Amino acid sequence: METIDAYFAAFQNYLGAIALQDQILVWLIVSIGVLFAFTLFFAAMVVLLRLGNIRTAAKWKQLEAVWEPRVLDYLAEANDPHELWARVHKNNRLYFIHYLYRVAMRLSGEERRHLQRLAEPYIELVETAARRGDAEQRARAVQTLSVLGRPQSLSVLIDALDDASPLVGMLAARSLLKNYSAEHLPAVLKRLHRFEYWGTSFIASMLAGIGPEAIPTLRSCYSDVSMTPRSRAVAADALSLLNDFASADETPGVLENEHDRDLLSSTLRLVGRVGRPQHLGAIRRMCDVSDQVIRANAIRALGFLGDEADIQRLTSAFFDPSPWVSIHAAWGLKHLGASSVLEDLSKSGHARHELALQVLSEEEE
Amino acid sequence: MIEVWIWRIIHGFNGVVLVYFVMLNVVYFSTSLMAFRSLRRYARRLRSFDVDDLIASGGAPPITLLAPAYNEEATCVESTRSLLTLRYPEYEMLLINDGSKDKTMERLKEAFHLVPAARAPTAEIASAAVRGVYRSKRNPALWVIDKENGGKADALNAGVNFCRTPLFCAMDADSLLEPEALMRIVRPFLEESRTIAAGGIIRIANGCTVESGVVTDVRLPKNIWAQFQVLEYLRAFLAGRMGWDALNATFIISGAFGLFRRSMVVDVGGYSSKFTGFETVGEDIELVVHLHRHCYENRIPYRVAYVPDPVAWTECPESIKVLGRQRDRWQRGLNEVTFHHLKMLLNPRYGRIGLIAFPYFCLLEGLGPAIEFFGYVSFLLTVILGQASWLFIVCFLMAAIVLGIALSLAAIALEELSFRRYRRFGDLIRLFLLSVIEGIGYRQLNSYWRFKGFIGAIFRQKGWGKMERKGFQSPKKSEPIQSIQKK
Repeated sequence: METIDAYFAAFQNYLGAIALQDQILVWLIVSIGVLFAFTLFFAAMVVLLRLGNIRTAAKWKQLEAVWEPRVLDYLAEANDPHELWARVHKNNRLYFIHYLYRVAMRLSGEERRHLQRLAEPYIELVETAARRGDAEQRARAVQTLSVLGRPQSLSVLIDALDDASPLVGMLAARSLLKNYSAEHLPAVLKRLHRFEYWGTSFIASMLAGIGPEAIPTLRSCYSDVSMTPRSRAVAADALSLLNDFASADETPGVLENEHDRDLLSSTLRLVGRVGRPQHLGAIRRMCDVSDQVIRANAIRALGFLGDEADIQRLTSAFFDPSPWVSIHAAWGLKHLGASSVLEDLSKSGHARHELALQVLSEEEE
Repeated sequence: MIEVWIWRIIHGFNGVVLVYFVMLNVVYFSTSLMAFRSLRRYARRLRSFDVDDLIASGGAPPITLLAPAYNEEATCVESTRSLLTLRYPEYEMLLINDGSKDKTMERLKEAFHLVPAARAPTAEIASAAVRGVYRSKRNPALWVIDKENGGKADALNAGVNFCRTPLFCAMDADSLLEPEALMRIVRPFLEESRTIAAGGIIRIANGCTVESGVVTDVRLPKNIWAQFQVLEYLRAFLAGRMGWDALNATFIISGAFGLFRRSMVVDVGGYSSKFTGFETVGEDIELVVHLHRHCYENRIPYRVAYVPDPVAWTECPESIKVLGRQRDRWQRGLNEVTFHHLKMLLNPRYGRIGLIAFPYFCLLEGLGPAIEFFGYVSFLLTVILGQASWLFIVCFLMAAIVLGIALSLAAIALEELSFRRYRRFGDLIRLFLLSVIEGIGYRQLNSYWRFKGFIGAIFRQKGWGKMERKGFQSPKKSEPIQSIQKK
């Protein structure tokens, strides 16, 4: 250390003793040295990375050549897996799991369960990885568990719902809903605030993927005023995807009492899809609100549910300043069988006449 | 006395150049180093991302592809076919024929059986007159908007006007998207609802094998100018943009491939064109800068993301003349945009964009060509008039060259660390060699083109310059492989 300090002090003395131009020259030479070292470092890195990649690829190929026929045999005959496990060296256990994961992604049902059995002796390593390492490693581990996990992996996935990384939480939620179904839906719904940045339709479609058994939980979430408006909006969209007719009766109350744009829009989508004539009053009240997104959803719902009495309202909405309201009004007119109104509008010479023409010529939305 | 002052000025300018050189390269090095960390994390993150699973699960928002075409008769049919076979649950394509003078429209009508169709606009961004809207009878997802010529930005605005989905993807009609590119670029929108724009990576298709609109074999082009551009694109997209994204200060989304939230683009008045009041050849940069500005001024939480794995393959210029025009245009675009939004420079109101990204792009990238150009001149004067020692000259040149090599090698290392598209060892060696020779000649040429662009921006020069397209071609039988051939 002292030697380095001495060299540094000598270098400073030297710089102090020479002219500015020479100082620049000295710094240039030092820079060249440093840059040259960087260049060598990067060049070596490229070569080593390439060699490493080639080696890894060769190793994979070699290992897969050993594992593949045995895995296929096992899948075909479900024979004793010990012979295969004996060929998995302890250093290659994670490789083996990753190999099984890739195979499992192409399979489903009974064949995937066979692979889960093959992965069982080593899956603990993945369960450990799901609790350690950086967020990306944990995410990968959770994704692997969702495909190859054993019954004991369930607790790891439930814990992962509260992982510091929202990505890990989302993967755990997807896995729980996909593999363990509605049982864990309340736990996921309670944590929807963690996924605030994910799109509403994305989460709704994930929830609806469970199927009809999710409906009771989704309904109670939708009508629970203690839940956040976003969670209720997501539940409404999921109920809409599941065509839950009974939930339509909750919608007038929400339309009456709530003010959140997302919740109102989702509710209007829901009632438009599963509503009945007795819900028309609540929809009509929303057709003139100032927010154009809510208005467009209300006109859309009216187009689906309305009757002849609504043709005039939809015709006026056709001239709404918002083109989205106008489009939904035109579709609504067509849906209610008011094609003659649309034909008149298409010949009207109004700036929107093309829209009427378009809706007349296209398939029913 | 005058002579003394001249020498003072020359020395002073040499000092300015030195400071510029150091600052620019400190930024390059910093972004490269940040890119290492980000790319490593991203590569790991990709392992927890299953495209098939996402496609099957639904919930991905519908997207409209906007592809403006001007005189693209050589490539439009194949590119459109390829764009209609992407793996994405719900998307439609709007191809905007921007008043082409060649047979672009005829080729499209013939290939896709286009018939006139009604389609109403959903926004009213000013654009040149639309002559007609057509829909394909063969593939109902394809619409063609035939309009008067108004430039690329104007064509995109016409497309935005007819877009009916929450997101649109702006691209070049002659680019090829990888089949999963949309599913990958939409990811930031799924994971972070504040995302308003995302850019993907542009790679060079020259030299690659293209079969049925899909790049099936990646290799370096044979043309030397195209090879240099491969290296530049690696540096720009893997080191530069990845580093800026790590800082959450993405400033540029390439016009060849970007995904945008439609409503936000309509709110800022669309792309800049002569019909919207500010005409620039850097309309892609302008849109992103405008989005940043709009969100900061209106306190809208937002994110502009860069994603390094969705790939758009594009044909790059192979002639020095066309390449020069392209670089001239890029520089002009950057200067016009930064000057137009000069209010953001070092303005804390615009957060890290105003304090970091804007000063870098405005001062170092924007003024860089002028500093570099006059730097070469004053350096030459210093040398010719014997005011600098040969040792100093050699050292300075060596520092510049070694630095260029180090940065290029860092970009190649990033490619090797992440996506490894160039699998042949020979290509790797050629990239090494290119990084060595690039600093002697090509860099100076680039400075000259950029300086021309800088001057063009000052004198408000207009126009894009002509870009010659040769078309993607498949190899015949087992014939390798130079896919982009001269007609």
